[in-house]
Amino acid sequence: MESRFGLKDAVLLALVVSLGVMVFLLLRQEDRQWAEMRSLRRTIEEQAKLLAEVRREIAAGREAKAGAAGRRDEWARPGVPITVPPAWTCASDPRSHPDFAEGGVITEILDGAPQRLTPYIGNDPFAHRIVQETVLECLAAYDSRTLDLRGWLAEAWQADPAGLWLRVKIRDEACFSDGEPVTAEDVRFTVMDYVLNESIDAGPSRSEVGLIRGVRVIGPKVVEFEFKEARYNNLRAALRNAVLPARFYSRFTPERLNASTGLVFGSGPYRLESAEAEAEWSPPKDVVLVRNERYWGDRPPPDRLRFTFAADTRARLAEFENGRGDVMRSTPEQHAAKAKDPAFLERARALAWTNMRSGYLVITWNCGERRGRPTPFADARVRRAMTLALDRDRINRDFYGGMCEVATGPFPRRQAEASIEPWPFDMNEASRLLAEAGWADRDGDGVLEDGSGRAFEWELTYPTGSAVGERVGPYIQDQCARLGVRVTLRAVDPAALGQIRRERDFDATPVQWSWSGPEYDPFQTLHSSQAEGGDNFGQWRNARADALMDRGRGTVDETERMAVWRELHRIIHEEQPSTYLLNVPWTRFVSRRIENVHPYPVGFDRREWFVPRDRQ
Amino acid sequence: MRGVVRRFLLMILTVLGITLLVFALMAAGPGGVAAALRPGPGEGESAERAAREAYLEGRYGLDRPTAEQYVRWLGRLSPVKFGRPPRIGPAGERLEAPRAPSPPVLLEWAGVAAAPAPSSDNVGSDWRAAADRAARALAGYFAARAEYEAVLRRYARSAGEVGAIDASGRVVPERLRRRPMDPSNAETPAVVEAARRAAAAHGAARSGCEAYGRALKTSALPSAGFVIVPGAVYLDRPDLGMSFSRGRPVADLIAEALPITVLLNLLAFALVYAIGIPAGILAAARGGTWIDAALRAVFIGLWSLPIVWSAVMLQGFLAHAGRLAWFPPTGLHSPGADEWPMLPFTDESGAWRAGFLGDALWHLCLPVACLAMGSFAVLSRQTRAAVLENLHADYARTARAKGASERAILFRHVLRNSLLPIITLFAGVFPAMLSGSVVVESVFNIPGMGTLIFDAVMLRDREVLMASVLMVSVVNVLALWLADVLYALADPRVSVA
Repeated sequence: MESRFGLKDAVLLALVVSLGVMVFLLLRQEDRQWAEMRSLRRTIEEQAKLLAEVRREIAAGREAKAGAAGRRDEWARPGVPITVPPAWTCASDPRSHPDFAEGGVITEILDGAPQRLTPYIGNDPFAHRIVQETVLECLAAYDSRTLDLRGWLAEAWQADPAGLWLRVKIRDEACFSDGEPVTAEDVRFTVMDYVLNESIDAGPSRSEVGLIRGVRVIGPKVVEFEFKEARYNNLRAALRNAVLPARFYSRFTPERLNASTGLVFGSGPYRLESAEAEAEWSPPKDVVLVRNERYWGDRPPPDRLRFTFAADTRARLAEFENGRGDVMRSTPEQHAAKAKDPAFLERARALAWTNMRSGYLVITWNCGERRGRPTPFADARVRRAMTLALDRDRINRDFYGGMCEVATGPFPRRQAEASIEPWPFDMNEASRLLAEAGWADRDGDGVLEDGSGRAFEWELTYPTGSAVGERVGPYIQDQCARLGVRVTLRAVDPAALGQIRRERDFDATPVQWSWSGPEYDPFQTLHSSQAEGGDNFGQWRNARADALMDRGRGTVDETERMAVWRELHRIIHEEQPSTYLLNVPWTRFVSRRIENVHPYPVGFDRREWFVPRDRQ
Repeated sequence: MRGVVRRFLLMILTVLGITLLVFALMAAGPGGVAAALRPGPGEGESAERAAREAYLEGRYGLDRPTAEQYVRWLGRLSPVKFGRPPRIGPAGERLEAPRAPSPPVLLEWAGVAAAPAPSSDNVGSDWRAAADRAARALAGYFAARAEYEAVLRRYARSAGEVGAIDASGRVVPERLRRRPMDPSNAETPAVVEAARRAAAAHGAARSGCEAYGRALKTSALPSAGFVIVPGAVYLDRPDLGMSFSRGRPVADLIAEALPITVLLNLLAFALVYAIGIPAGILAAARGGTWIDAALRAVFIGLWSLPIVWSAVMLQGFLAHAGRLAWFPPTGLHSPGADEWPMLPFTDESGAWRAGFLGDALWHLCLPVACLAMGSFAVLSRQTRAAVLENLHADYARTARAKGASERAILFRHVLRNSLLPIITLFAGVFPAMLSGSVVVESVFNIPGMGTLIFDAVMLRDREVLMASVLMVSVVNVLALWLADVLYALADPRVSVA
């Protein structure tokens, strides 16, 4: 056997080498075309900018002329006052900043990847964070500081004093990213033919829009909403929905929309790189939004917004610290650790603040029956004793790094009764209340029993991995042991927890609720009608509270309504259907590469952010 | 050849058995099959939640018995389908009239007549309008049914019917049917009224669905699939269903995730073979020396590290800005890499960039290393054993006696014969890597099959889980089959039969 490099081997080698060379040349050729395309795109972008400048100047001239002609109110119903909210402006104008520069990219690392960006479909919270107020716009927006509704696509509106209708005048200059104007028909289409279309998977969005009975087109720029009943949040239901262009979305069948991943087209300051149905965005790619050069309002500073995704909290922080992202949501532990790290704070801001989108953490007691038997928490004195036995200041300090505030009820500050102080930490009073409720150590084993000899023991049911369950749980166990109450910790699979709560098969469970708006409607979580099948997991039933909740929702007048909520707050405070532990703030890390970042009661206002030239 | 075919048929049965087992386990598990479909906390009030839940259950057929659901799932999977093929809509989507929903329970018991069969007149030719009407009618029915069930629950409670409401709050019709409805119960009029409304809504939904079916039939839209017997049997691509949690076709989700996992595993595979086999040969050739011992120690050490631990350590030490930031911490591409050319280049600021390909490879280094590190030991020990056995075989001794050099014996004679067992190893290593990629993908935030399966398990997304189980079991069974066939081809002494 001789091994020689023969002709056959030479031919084979030549073939392999030439294949390699050909692949390389192919890649080179591809790259050359790529470079050519990029330069073409850059030219087109510059042209678009120029055109936008011209268009803006023409529009400014037209506006000045219209302004000179005076405001016309013929769109309105006679005899009903018109609300002309101040036009929306940034709370902190980036252009007045000395380092201000346009351009650059801001990258946000989200804690999960959206499955689809198509508006309303699937109700994806990440998609909402990406496209709302960037690509899509509503008729009105919340003022960053006061949280009052201010006109966005809407120039003015007229609300029925009885709360049954709302007429809206849309801005003349508002247009979609293809330059076509935003019309009353678009508003009608969005609500009636899109969100309320049963064939479209917009279920969760339908519950709020469901307050709307009908939408009428009065004129090209005038639209009127009719409501099913007078409710304080009717205004929000009508004005806070992203307006979609009817021309674009009516092209698709519901089946196509339901299966779509990135059909996003709106009037906002940014747009998707490609809004074409043939090249729609699909996961798991990053989402890149580019500035809409035809935007009708003030130009936002950054050229692009990029959204990347990292579900794992550690991976997210590593990405952020490696400079691959500018904004991320931090966990309470990460926040507590990094807020004291000077090296980290040199490069980033660690922000924690309560806003209209943060929420509160509670331990909900099962006040009704569990498996056909009432739990010990059916008695309000027992629930209050539990609250008194938990040192909530300590929970805040030891487990949340002191960034939270102790809660007194489910309401955000502007809605809460200011005179209510949190229940103190008082073990003696807790013992006294338990004794008053009939619990005593009758057999000397250190555990309390009721009159029938049943020992006082309960389970804290929480999802595996829950910070409250796993970290605060042992503390609760200790505190209760001191009172003579036995607590078992029961960690369950998150998917099974839903079922357990639906079946009300628990004694107590921690829940974190978010406010998701300037005003919180407690109906879903506390009204007795929701004790069966709804979110009132604790099955708390209180006729007075029910009446107040019904009255509060139906009261359109704000002052009157706030009085109702405050009275309700007092009842909740006395009754303690849940132990209100903490108001948990939003925690965010924001890179110092970005300027003009301010935490507001509304959350963030990304429209103000900019990247100074030297950091682009 | 017959043996190969027989094995193949056995494989199909095995895969079916696996799917049946997983389906049954999911149906029996806590939380049911569709935790992802249930509205989460804060999503609406009880009445509309119940209606939405009923709607989704009806839409995904979850209101049918489990056995029927499994048979339907198999039916969707089969390329041979029965009934009328779906039509293809203007944007390529498949249009099919929904099945008529099952009627409300306990109608006779409540003394309410079922809605009459829908009439076949009023055939609208506009399929869009018919689809809209059908959707509205269905939603109306599901809302009415949910309300009827709520009233029935109230009745059962007030009548003291023990066991008429099961643990998940559903009415058990058999329990209520045992006794006639009690006319003196305060809830009775409400039950009758709600039953009447539900029956009427059911009739409307049924006729809506049928009208939509007729409108599609008369429409000019083209049919999907290949018809064999018109109106009865047709061939069409298997349908893996819609994901409960992501609301998208499962086939699309797998098409996005599978290439990533396959790439990851193929690279790891190549790495394992490239290092494992030479190391095994070296260990055998230098058997008993310090090299053999060192290789063994290192590989067994790597093998005994849990993947999750090594992944987190590698990420923490080699990819963190605070330590050695040699590798990127997560993902498959750098931000903005999709705008780079394929090959290395210098950007506007004059900085050198690795290009799209180089960037992707750089991102894959740590995940691939994690996936591969456990398999070195298996492969190198196996190779070492095989080579050693052959080195002491008669033919090697003969070659040595004839004066062949040790080198020639090792590489020309022994090696070829020693590679046989390594073929079978392929079948064992591949499934292990696939399971390892679940962990690696979650730590390194790679959107592959591992992440998809993990999420599906957490959210009880039956459609995704079933499809993934199917994919993984098919791949594994195929790998086993392929190993058998390859072994038979490589070694004439072995027969597949």
